[in-house]
Amino acid sequence: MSTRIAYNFSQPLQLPEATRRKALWLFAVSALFAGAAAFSDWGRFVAGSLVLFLFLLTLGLGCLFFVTLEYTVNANWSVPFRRIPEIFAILIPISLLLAWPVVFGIHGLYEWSVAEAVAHDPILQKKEAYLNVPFYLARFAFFYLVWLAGYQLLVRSSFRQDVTGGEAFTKRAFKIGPVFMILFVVSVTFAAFDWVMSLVPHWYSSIFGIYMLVGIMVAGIALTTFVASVLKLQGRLPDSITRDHFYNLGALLFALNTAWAYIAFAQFLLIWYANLPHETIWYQMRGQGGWLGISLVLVIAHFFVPFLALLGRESKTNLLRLRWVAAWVLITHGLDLYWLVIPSVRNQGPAFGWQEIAFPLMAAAIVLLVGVWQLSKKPVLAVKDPRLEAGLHFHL
Amino acid sequence: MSDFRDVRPAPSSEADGTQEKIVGALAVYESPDRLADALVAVRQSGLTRFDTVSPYPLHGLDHLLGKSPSRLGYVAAIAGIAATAIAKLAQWWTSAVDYPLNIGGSPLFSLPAFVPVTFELMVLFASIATVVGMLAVFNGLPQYGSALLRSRHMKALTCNRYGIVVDAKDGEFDPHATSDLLGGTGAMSVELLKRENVSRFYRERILSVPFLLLLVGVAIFSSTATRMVYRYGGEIPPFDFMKRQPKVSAQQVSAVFPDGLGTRSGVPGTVARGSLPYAFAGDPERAGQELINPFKASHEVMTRGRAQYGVFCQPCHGRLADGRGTLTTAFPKAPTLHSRKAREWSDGRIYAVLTEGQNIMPAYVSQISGKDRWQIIHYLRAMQRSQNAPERDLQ
Repeated sequence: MSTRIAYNFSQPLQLPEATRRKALWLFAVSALFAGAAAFSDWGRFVAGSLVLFLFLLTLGLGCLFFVTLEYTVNANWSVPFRRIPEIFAILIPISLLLAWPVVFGIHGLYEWSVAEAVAHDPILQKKEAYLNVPFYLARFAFFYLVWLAGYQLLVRSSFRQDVTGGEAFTKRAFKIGPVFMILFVVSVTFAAFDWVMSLVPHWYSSIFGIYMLVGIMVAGIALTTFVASVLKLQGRLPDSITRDHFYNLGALLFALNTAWAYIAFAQFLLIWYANLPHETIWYQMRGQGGWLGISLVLVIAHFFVPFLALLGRESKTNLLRLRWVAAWVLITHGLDLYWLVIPSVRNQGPAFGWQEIAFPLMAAAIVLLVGVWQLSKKPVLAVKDPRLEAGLHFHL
Repeated sequence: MSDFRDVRPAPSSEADGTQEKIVGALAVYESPDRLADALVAVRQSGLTRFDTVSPYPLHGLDHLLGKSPSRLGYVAAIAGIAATAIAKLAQWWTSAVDYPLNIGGSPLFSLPAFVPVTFELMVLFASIATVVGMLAVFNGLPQYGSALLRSRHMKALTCNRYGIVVDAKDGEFDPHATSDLLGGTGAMSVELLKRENVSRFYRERILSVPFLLLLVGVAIFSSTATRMVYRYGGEIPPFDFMKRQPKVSAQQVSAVFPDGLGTRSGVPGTVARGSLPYAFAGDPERAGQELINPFKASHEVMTRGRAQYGVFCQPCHGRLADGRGTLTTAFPKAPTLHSRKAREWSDGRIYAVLTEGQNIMPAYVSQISGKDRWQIIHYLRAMQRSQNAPERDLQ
């Protein structure tokens, strides 16, 4: 709140041209690295691309979830923030461009899609009714159909409301929200089964879909919190968005991050207790060699650090701290996806060399580009939402 | 409202005769907005000890009241940390030290297994500490009453009116000036809250006969109800959970078999595992003639026989088999086993008695194994010889 800029919040933000240039440079560098990595080790590049795809998709889905949640529970306090998840929900259509590993790379990634492997494996033969290529591709189409429909009905229509105004869209969104929520949860669950769990086709965990779902919620809230804190610190949000609004964001981030740990531990505890070889194998992959270190880092960095950092009441309204905790949670969400995917795909210890550097750089560049591009096109508030006034007057 | 808890007059006030003392001022407002406007005015006047009363929580009042954040969170944090430590220590002590418990081969001190209990205990401790801490420490409960509760506006304040209470302990408080100030903030009504001589009133209420009778009645009712539930509750469906089962108990009629017997006998021509049929049932004399003790007297046989005799025979027949057992006062006297009859019986004849019983002595076939019965007889023979030693043994 150091800089005071007089804004007309019904107009798009005037963002410095330098930011866009930096983001483009970042993207160019990451693309160079990605190209070199693809030539150097194709298998490694495909695995990394899968993590990049999942990271950007889960960010977009988390943002769409946050928008849906607002309409489902009729929350007013989040209306002034809603534009931020709305603009980042565009990562869902963008992720289609990055989805090539799960469409064209399936034979390299998924053992169940290789006919010779299935022929020698009675378990995969039993699972063939679900895990076969045509049905898998049909599911892929179904997932994107659901998500893009949600994006169109809840997000694009909200952009249109900026111009048209009126209550028609808001009333319709209250009806669509709960229905879409159910479809969203089901589609995310099965997408998690398809793209992540079936990397080890013998292994299964019925809680896995919820694990991914909570990770998605955390990612969406963390991205919203991060962008909102940055904009507020730059003075690019109205003064009527107060500490009370940010307190809610921080509390939601805190609660969902704890829920992530709860689900992650629930999955681990049952498998650890039952101690059945076909279930423990998945954790065995993550408990050997260098992966044990990554697993412990994940527990500490994804749960304990944000938990302790956000525990106090003041820390949820301290924007400087909130900004860094949100960024930290985004990074650990990426680490979580890396930890979920790579040990299943590559049968060796963790490696992070120049072949991997492309992916975090590209993720940061795409998020930054989307933010700059969209924020200079659309107002930072949902200016014609009939509930905006009530949302701005929110007090704890 | 903690500032109003002391409604019992100090002893001195009775002495100097004042029965009423002003403890504060109450202003009543029509709407939350009026209340919020008035709060600003009250704060600007320099008053510091004031609070609001409303029928439901009003958002946004905290910063108008200028209160520092509650320290209740620290109570919850300390209780949670204490519970975590207690849960871990208790599980470590009970499962790994005091009574080491092997569960599925996992380590005795298994962190993952201990997390759920730790988590639940932390939630339990923290929530109880928060509620109790809020009521007892921060709200100052329990208290006998409050001058505010006897205000004629109190009923409206729990329904559709909103109030500001200024404490008389405030340095800036003056009955007239503060009333005027509150009146000027758009209050519907301003009332000075007075402390009455209430101590006797409340003492009488708490120790009154009807109240004590009520306590006694509650005690009798709850203990009777508990007794009834434990005594009869288990017989009433569906609380008789596992008492009624679709199985045939001993001696019960069965609808499955044509002969209607629930207790089945063995298939003809077969023998149950580990059991030998006794061919001399009802004919002990023939058993005495035909059965031969399969054991030879040895140290092991004697030791085993002595131990089994001590368990099953000694209570009635006595340590020396002389019929002077410890149960003789409660049971009919058992005979001595040193009689000529008992000494002249063959091992097989005694075996028949142990197997089938005799007179009032029950059969021990289901309690003492066949091998042990033979070994007991060896030990009995040794005792008989010790009490009836022939001349040559003494030489």
